[in-house]
Amino acid sequence: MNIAKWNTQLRKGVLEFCILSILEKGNNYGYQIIQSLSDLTEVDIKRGTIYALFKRLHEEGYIQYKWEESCSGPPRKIYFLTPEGKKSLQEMKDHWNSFLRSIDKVLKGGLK
Amino acid sequence: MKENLISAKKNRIIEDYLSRLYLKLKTIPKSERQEIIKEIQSDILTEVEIKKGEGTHEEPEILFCILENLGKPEDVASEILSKSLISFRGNFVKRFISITIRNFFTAFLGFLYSIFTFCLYFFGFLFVAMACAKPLFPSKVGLFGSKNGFGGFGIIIKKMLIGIDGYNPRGEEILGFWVIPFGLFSGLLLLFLANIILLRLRKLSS
Repeated sequence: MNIAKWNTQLRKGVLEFCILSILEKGNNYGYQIIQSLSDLTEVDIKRGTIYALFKRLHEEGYIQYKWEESCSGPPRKIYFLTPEGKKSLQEMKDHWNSFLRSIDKVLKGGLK
Repeated sequence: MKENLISAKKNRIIEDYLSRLYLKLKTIPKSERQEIIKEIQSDILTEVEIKKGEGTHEEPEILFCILENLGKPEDVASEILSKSLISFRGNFVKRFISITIRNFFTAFLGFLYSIFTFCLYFFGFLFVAMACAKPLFPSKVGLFGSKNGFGGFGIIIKKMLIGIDGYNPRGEEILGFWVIPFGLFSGLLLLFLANIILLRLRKLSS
């Protein structure tokens, strides 16, 4: 098995979850979210993938955005969670915790 | 003066990059395309400002580094398109018709390509089989002429020609044993062409 590939796939699989979690901490603009994702996941994520995910999450109603003027540069597209996004994020967290517990059991010697 | 020149050059590089990206995103609605371009432009300029503030590199160097990290416009576009949902926002009827027509032509072209490559494989294998069978059944295998001016090739079994019939009445055999190099060369050439076309199609579809 190619471990590096497996690791990348694993992290890419939870990108949407990560984006929603970052936005839960506060409104943010694209570049900052991308930076946070790269720092936290330690994976070289393609920018196109992230922009497509923003678009998809917006179309599905999980995030919203507004354009804001910036005092030190161009206007920024600020993303924030919608109530639907907050609700889905909570559900994702529950599933994630349950998944982690299951994997932990398997790693500690299997389900009895 | 120098700063103005650098700024103009920076804007030109960004505009060139974004216009290439814009063209590659032509399959999504104009308003969504403009939104994506505006966002990427904003992120590029923001990143330039942040990195300029760190003071480690000159602006042109920073910009080239950012665009390199961003990837080629073609790659960014294909990432965006591959992960985007098909959107029917905007003029629903216009979008529906445009998507239907585009998909119909894609399916029709796929159908034609399939028929074409099937024929290449069919004739390719037949030519190679003919060349291989010729030494074993010299009188029954080969290329045949016809009194009507047509020809045929294949293997004769009980007066029937398996392959392409030479039309009745069948005439004299053409090429003789030269049919072996001819069959091998043309058969392998057809198989090679079929493989090239299929590989090309697979690359395009991916």
